[in-house]
Amino acid sequence: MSLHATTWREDRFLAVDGEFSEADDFCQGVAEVSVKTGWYVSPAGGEEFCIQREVTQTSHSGRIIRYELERYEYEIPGSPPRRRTAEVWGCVYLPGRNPGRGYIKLEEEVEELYPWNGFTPGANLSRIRRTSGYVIYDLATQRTSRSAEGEQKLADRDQTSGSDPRLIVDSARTWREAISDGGIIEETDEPQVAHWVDPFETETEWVTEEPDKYTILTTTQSHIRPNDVRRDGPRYQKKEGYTYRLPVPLSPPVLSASADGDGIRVEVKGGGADLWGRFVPPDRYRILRRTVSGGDRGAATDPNGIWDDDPAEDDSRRIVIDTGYSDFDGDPIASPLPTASTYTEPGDTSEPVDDGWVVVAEVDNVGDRRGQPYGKARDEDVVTGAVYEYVAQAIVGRDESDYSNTASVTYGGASRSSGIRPRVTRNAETGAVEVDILGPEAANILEAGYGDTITLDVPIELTIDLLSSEDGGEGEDGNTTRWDESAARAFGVEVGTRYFAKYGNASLEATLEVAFPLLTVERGLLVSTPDATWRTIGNLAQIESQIDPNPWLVDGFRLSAAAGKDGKLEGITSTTLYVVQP
Amino acid sequence: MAGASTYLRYSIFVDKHDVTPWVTAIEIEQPRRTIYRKAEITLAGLSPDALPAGGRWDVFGTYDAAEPYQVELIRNGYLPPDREGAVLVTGGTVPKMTLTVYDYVWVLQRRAPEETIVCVPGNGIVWDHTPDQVYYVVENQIQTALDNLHGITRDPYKPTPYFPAGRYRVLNFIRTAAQAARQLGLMAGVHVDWQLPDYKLKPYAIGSGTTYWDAILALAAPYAPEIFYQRAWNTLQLVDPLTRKWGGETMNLPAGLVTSVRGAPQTRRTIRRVVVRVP
Repeated sequence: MSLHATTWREDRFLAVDGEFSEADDFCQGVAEVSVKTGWYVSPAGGEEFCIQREVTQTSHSGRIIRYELERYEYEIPGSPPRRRTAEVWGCVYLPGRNPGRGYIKLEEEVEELYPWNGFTPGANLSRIRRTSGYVIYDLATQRTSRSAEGEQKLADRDQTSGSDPRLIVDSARTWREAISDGGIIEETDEPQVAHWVDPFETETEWVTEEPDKYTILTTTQSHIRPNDVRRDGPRYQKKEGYTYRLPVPLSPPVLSASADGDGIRVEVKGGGADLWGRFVPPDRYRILRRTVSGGDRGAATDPNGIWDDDPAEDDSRRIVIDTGYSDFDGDPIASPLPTASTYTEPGDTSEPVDDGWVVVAEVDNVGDRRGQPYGKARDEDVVTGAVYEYVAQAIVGRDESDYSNTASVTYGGASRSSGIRPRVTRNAETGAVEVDILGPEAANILEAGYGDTITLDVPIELTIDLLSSEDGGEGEDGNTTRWDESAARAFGVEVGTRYFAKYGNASLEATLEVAFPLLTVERGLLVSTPDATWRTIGNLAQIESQIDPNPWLVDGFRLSAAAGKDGKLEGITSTTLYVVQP
Repeated sequence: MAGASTYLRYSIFVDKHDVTPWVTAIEIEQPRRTIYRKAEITLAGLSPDALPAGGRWDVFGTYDAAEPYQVELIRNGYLPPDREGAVLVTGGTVPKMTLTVYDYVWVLQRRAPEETIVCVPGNGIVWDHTPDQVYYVVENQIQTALDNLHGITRDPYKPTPYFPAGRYRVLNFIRTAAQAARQLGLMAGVHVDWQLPDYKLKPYAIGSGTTYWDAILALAAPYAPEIFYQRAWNTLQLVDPLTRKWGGETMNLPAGLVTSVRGAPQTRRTIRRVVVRVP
């Protein structure tokens, strides 16, 4: 179903007002020219397509003396036209055909267009135009039969040999040529005749595409004069340089970063694009860093001028929870640096420094053990005490994804240990899983092999993965049940993290004698002694009350009362508080 | 300080006889890292025959300062978490009675010690004839729970070889440790505020000799929680040691009241290695 005109537009020009001056074949006496166009307008809007064009010329007496109809046929909106037809009607004297200047069809065009590339801009349509119409012949009035030469000429012109033998074949000219050249004598007894020749002219235009240009060759063949072949071209239409590409719709990866030894370990996984069911993994990852808060400051760079020297680090006050894993080979990532300290000057209310994202690494997608997209980098250009944020992008060729999630890392300085190292073993017979979690080395304990081992039997239900036989499984149906080691590992890390946080750090306990009956005391209460002056030493910690604004945690208490000499209980006069550093 | 002693008023009954006049000393202590309170009450003037060594007694006490007139019963036979008897009587010329009490300790004890509690994930009433679903029938769940209790590993896809005859208290729809702890606490009459990461349990059995307290503690043990009891809300709080949600209230002690401070060295266990076994 081709498109049809939905919107019409008509323009009228009047000769009496001198609005137009058109020299045409029979423009004498034209009083009005009407140009009416029909357009297809999609209900959804967009480009308008010209479907039909009518030009009507009317004489002063109101009679139509010329009419042109041009139609374009489209298949779908947005594509080039497939066909163009044109008709010319008029009041023209044609000898032997229209002696009364009747209103007849004079010419007809059918143009087939071949859009070999429907979406390439420009007039690069190959086409074939056939023009039919009236041809004027002179007549040899005395001739009764045509010669062999004349028969051959008719055959060359692809015309029937049974036509009028008086035709002078070489005198053929179209009605338009005859009028413009004055070749029609409007007398009925003149030896002239008009015949409808279909077609009298064929125009072929070939458009071929080359990498840098289009080559256009136009050939016009007259069928009434076989030697009249006009070639136009080849003409060249230079291509305009343009870039047209679809970006790969990359999804951002997932980033995780953690302080690890003397640097920050950044791991990126995921990303890639799903192109109609085909997964395109990222070629590489770009890792960017932003410094949220600066690192250590010195006396020269203190913005508030209240710099104080760094007091000795109190190991026992630091609660270091390092959840970073070891290397994939199971080896800890050792750092040659000694344990450093973190210091932030008090009263520093300066805004966090935001210096934008800086590319720190572009790493290849090396893939993890399961073949999933994975990349890792290690950022060692970090300052102790600073807070960094990391994002990553997945890159395929020139395309990059959006930023991934933001991971914030506070770099606490180089440490000796590499965090918690879990190891999962599975009993092949019973299926029982054992997660052996080795804790981080304590900074203040030098000898190896210290510490106790806690064994827990937890009836946790781990998810079961049915792995295929190519993963080494064996079973009756080719599958085998196997505990999910990653779930066991994650659970072990959760357990170990809490045990090491609770028991792995040095802690100072104190016993306070308070000369007051604290009857409502409960475990969990926080107690601060802001005014009391006392000092206590335990392990490596030396705590003085007045410089220690942190409250203590009541871990237990003791109340007692005894009977006096009269046998009655005296009131409770004191409370013993067992406090601990929270 | 006389007013303070009135709030710490103990009425102690021995064989339903008030023995308060014979109390010569009371000492209440909450040891470190515990939620129970140990009360040591020294009695005088009692006949040694009335307090034979090893005897068991009903002891009523009003020791809650917030509720000074509420009489609470520490009934005979309740087991503290770390001792054999709640009430130890040392015979002699001056009998001495040592009580290990919780706040609301009684709710943390087993009511029917002969019962085995089984936590199963399903409702236990479904009888499905398809072979794949046999695992979800309650008998198999009980069997699996008992296997987990005794450390026996079986193939879960094979039917149980024998029927686990016995009497069990089945807690159904218990899939996670938090659900189990909460249900055990509700059975004991205490709310459990599980502020720890949850994990899925296998069908879980609690032996007949285990108290509610021990069962809840075993469920929370992998996460090494800090355990608090909030008396006002009757809630047992299991707090993640990583979050450190302590108390919520800070008490300032004036300088004159703190008479002595003794700093203790590191007394906590130092853990280097944790082994988690998943049976």
